Amino acid sequence: MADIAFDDTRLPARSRSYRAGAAAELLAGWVLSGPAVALMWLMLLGPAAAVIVLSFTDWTFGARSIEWIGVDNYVELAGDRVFWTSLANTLIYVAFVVPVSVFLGLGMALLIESGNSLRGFYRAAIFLPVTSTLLAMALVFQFAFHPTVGVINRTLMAVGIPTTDWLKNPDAALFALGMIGIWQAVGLNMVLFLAGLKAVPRDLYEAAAIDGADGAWERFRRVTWPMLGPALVFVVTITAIRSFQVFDTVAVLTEGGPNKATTVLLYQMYQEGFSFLRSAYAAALTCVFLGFVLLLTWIQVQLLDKRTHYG
Amino acid sequence: MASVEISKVAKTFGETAVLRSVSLSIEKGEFLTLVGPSGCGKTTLLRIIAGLETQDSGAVKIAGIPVDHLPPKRRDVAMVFQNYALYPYMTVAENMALPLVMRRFSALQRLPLLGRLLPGTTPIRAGIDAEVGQVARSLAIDHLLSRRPAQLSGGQRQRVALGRAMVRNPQIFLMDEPLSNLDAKLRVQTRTEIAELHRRLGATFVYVTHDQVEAMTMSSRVAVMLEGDLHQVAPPQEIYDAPADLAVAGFIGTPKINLLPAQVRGDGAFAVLDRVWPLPQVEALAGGYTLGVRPEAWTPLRAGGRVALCAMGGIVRHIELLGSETLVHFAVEGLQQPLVARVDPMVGATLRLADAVTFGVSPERVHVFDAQGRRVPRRDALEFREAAVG
Repeated sequence: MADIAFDDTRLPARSRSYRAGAAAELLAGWVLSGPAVALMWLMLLGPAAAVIVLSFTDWTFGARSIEWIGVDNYVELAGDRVFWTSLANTLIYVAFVVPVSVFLGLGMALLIESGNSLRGFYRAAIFLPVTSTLLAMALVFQFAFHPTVGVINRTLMAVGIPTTDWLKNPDAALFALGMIGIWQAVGLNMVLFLAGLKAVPRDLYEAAAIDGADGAWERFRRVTWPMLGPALVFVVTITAIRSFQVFDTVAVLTEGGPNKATTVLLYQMYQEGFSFLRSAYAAALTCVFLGFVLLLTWIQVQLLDKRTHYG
Repeated sequence: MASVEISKVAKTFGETAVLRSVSLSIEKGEFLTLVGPSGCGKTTLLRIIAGLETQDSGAVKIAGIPVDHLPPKRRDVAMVFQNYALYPYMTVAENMALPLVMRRFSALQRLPLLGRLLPGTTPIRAGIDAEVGQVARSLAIDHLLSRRPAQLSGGQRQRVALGRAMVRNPQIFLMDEPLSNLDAKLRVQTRTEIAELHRRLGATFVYVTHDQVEAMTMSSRVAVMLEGDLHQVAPPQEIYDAPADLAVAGFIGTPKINLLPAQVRGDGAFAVLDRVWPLPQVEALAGGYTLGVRPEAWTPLRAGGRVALCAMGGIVRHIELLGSETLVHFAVEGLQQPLVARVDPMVGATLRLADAVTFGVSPERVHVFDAQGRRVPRRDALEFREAAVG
C-alpha cells in the first residue's frame, strides 16, 4: 500500500494530499490487520518463541525461581544417552514408515484407479484408519500383537514362520510400532495420490501410446510418475512430519520400552516435561525436535522440488 | 506413405451413435480433411484410425493391412493432439526423442541409469539426437531444444508437437484440430506451413477440423461429416461448387448459401415465390425443391439494364462492409430470412438501407436440391455422382 502511494507523490500536482492519504492508508492497514497479526503472535509464533526462550533456563514446572543458564540444557542433551537413543529410534521409525507408506499408498491408488468395480468401497476401507483414533485402535493392535492369542502370531504360526513377542522384543518393538504407523498413514497417502492421478491429462497417455510407451511400466515411468511429482512432494513431506510426531502408540503400547528400544523424541519430551517436570530440558528437546523436522522437510522439498514439474 | 481404408465403421457411446457405418478410402500421400461441426464424430473417426478408440463394427486397413487388432504404436501413425499433449516434465528434445527412444532401444537399454551402461546404447543415442536436431532445424525450433513446454509459446508448442510426429517418419500423420489453440494470425501462417510440410514429406495426412477455411485451404480432398455420417468426400472446390446435399451446402461457405423454396411446374420451370426461374440444366419431376444460391453468385440488376433469367427483388435491410467486399442483406417478401449477396464494394457503396434492389443469378449457378435435400444432378453430366457418398 505504502509503495503505491509513495510512487504517486512523484506526480507534481496534489502530491501533498496524496501523502496524507498514504499515511491514513498505512494506519488503516495496521488497524485492519492488527487483530490477525496479534492473534498470530499470540497463538502461533508466541508459544514457539516461549519454548525457545525456556530452553535457555533452568525452570522446572511449578518452581518459584527461574534462572538463565545459557546452553547448559543443550550440553546436557548432547551427553544424554536416552536422547541419542530416542533420536536414532525416531529416525529409524521415519525411515521405515515414510517410504513403505508412500509406496503402499501409491500402489493402492494405482490399483483403485485402474479398476472399475468397488472403487468407493476400497477408497473408504483404506481411508478408514485415517479417521479412527489411534489411541482406540491401539487396543486392537495390543490384542493383535499378543504373543500367544494375537491374530498376528496365530497367522504366522499357521504358516510356519517363527514368531516373537512383538511389543516386548527390543529388536521387533519399533518395527511393530512402524507397522501401525504405516497402517494409519497409507489411507491418506492413497487419497492424495488418487487426487494426483485424477489430474493427469488423458491425452498424455494417448500420446505415449502412439509414441510407443504403452506398457504398464512405460506408462507409469513416462507419464504417471513424473506427473505425480507435486503430489509426491506433498505426500512425502506430510508423512515425514507425521511420522516424526509418533507418540500415542509408544505411550500406550510400549511406554518407550523394552529397554528404551522404542523411546522416540516426542515420548522423551513427554516424560521429561510431564513426568519429571523438567520443563526447560523438555523445551530444549522440543527445539531440537523442531529443528530436525524443519531441516528434514527442507531437504526433502529441495531434493524433490528440483525434479518436480508443477503444471 | 500409406493408404487408409475405412469400411462401415460404426461407434456408439452409450445411447449416442457417434459414427453410423462410415466408409472412406484415403489415398497414399493424400491430405484428407475431416470437417464438421463439433460432436459430428470426426475426432472419434481419427482416434479409431489411430487405435486410441475401438470401433463397434467395421474395419480399418492401413496400407492394405487390417489394423483393427493392433495397438497404436504398431500402426505406424503419428498424431498431433488438439492441445499438443507434450510431456510437460521433459525438454523439447526429450519430447521429440521419445518415439525414437521407444522404438530403437530395447527394454533393457531403456532402463534408467543401467541402460546407459549397456553396449550399443551410445551410438543409438547419438543417432536419435542427430535426427531430433535435424527435424528441429527444419521446423526452426532447434534453439528451443533444452526448454520445457511451459516455457514455450502456443505456436512453438505446436511445432514441437509436429516435430514429435515427424521424427519417426510415420506412414500417416493424424492431426486433431492442431490449429485451434493458436491465435488468428498464427493460424493463417501455420496453415501454410502444414500444407508445405505435407508437400515436403509426401506422407498421408488425415486432418480433423471444424474450420471450413482450414479444410478448404489445405486439403487435397475434404470429407464433410455431419452427425456421424459422411455426407460428401471431394476436392475442396467441388465441395463448394457441387455440394452433395443441403447439409453440406449449408455447412460449407461463409456467409451461408441462400436457400429458396421452389416448385416445379408442368413445363419444367421452377416457381420461386412469385417468379419463374428456368433452370434448363436439371431435369426435375414435379414437386417441391430447395434452390441454393451462393452469396457471390448474385449480381445486382439495374433498372433498364440487362434482364436476367433468374432474378429476385427485395429491400436492403443491412449492409456489411468487409473492405474487399460488401455483403448486402435484402429481405424478400415471402421469405423469413433476408437473402445475402456478396458484391463489389464499389457497387455496395451505391446502395442505401431500404433501397429496393433486384439481384440476378445465372441459371447454372443455382443449386437444386430435392425434397430429401439431395442434390439434383445436372442434365449434361452425371456430375460428381461417384464422389457423393451416403
